[in-house]
Amino acid sequence: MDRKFFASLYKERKLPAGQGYLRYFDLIFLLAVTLLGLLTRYVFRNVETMDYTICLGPWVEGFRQNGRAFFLDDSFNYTMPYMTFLYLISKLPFRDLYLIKAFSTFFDLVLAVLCGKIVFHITGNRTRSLLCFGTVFCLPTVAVNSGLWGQCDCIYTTFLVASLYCILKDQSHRSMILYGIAFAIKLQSLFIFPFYVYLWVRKKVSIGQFFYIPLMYLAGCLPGLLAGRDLKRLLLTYVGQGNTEPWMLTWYWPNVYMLFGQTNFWKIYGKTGVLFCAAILMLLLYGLVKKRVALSGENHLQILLLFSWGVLLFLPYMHERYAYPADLLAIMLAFTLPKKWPIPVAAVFLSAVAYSGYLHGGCAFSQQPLCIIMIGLFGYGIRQVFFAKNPEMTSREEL
Amino acid sequence: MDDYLRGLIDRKLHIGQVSFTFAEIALVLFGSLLSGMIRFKMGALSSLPADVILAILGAVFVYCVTKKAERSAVAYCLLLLLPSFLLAGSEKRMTECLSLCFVLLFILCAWKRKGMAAAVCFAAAVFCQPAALLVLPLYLALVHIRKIPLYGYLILAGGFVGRLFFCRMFGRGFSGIDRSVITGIANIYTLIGTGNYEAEYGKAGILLGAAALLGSLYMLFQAKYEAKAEGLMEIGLFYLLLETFILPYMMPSHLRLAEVMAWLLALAGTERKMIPAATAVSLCSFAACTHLYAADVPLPMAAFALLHGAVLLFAGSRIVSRMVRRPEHG
Repeated sequence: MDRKFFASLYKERKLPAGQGYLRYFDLIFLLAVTLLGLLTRYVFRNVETMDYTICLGPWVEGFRQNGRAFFLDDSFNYTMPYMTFLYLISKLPFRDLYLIKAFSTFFDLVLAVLCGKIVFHITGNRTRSLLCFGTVFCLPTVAVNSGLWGQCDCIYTTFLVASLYCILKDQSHRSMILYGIAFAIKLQSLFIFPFYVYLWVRKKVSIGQFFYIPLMYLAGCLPGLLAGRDLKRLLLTYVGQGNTEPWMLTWYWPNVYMLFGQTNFWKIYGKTGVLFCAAILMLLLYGLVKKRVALSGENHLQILLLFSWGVLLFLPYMHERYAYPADLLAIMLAFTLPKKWPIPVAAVFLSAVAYSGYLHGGCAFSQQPLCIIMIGLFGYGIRQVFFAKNPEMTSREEL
Repeated sequence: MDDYLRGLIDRKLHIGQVSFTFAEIALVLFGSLLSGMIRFKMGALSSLPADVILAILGAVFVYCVTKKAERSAVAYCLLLLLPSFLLAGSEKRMTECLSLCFVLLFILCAWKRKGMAAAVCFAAAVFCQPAALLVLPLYLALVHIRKIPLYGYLILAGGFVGRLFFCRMFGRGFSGIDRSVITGIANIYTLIGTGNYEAEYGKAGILLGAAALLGSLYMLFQAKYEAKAEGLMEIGLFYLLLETFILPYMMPSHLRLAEVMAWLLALAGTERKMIPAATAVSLCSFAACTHLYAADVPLPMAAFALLHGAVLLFAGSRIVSRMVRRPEHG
């Protein structure tokens, strides 16, 4: 009986549309892990954070009371795509808190599927791709971000990851369109813009395809334009976001400003930090171009991580949530190169502690030692991209 | 006279197939004496019988695996002199020690390919203390490689239901968990804090912990592994450390189970690095006990949480290095 039971559990069933094989064992795992992830978010459903009570809740209420006229209001600083979503949910007869979190949860699922597909595309290993799906969907920072916090980092990250997937499949048009959509949702998608510049150098994208970025941004502004909002205000939404609380060079994120302090020099650091970060990215890009780093699947992830960590470490005004895409890239990297497993462990740990700073009004311990870990991650990224001896990173190709 | 006494140290005695020297006897006697004296000073002499039973069984376990009397003597003394066990005193110690004994018997029987006996021992461990369910992933792994028959689940269910009836009849607490304390030991909740969301983190912690166990078991089941004693103990230790690290409402008694497993693995296994790992687990366990009973620790609990995490990663890497992947359909 035992033998028959395990044989049926491991029997492979062919999936439709030539998508490979799946066992009942895999299906049980998928269903169980999805259920656990959904239940976790269900547990968090009633939590109202400051972001909801001060921003999202009043905005939805504003749409309920004023309808489309609220698009002309000055009280919000999110971009039009997300505000359009809030407008749509204001029409529904359900609690807006639940709808906001359900929307983010939906994108969590899509994001997890995409991460699994990327791992499968690179490795061809079903087990790793399913584990990646489960890990991403049940990652505490991902579950807390959407389920407890009600934030929308999963939305723009989904489009970023989808863009990466299209690049891996040599679909550059779709990739740039998706990247443009990510940019239209959140400014933080610019963290990995240098990667696309490198792709252009390597002839993976053409210069004309970069115009999809402002095109998608303008397309995202349409609901606001149609409602009568001024085009200049729409175009300068991100500038308005950047000017709030300039004295806070870091919001619980362990970067260099947490190490060196942000007391008397916040004005100088704030202005020069952005330029300094741009210089670091420029140097990294130059190094990549000179070294002709091969564009294997794993290298895409390594390079993206390098740029992400560089920005997280050197750009001022970092928030706790801005490492969200980098954490997922690190997880995907660990599933493609299992020996790199300490990387996502360290990365997610940093994020989890940073989240606690916002959610609990302070971290359980001083974050300054964590800055050393962040510097270590960046240093590791540099080593892997520029100095690693493994063939996948050092093969030279002609331009 | 001197030479005679010196010669006595290495003189071998044989009882059946077991041979040991006077040095081991002296170690056992002095260890028992010291342990008794420490417990007497702490007013916890009543816990000594339970700890002696556990120490004897631990020594037998180590001897069965290694066939070395000196290691089993060291195991006996260690288990009697573990600081967290000394500090824990007489609080519910008999059921905890009995449960630990049954867990060790379960591993021994599984190693000796006596599946039914292993299932019965595990059910008995759960009956004594439901915290033994922390070893359930190891049980699942053994069922998966068919060292324990499928109907062993029925036996386990019997132990679980028996515990329920026992608690109902005698009005005892079922789980022994203090649900008002989410950070009973230094673990992930010490590092990230809970703030105003203790209830939510408690429920989510159980769900995400279950997801982590599910994922790790899914990965484990993809690989081939042999049911040797050292391998089984490594799997058991890894899951104990994982559960005590990520699950909420964990108590120092749960970490003591991991501590016993770590030291037995250090003595019965071949990996030398297990000794510092077991020391680290003991430090974390002692810190948890001190935090509970004295409400004071020399270092911030976050430091012990990081130490716990580091040992967990080490235990995980040991299992991954042993696994040989099963071939997979493209």
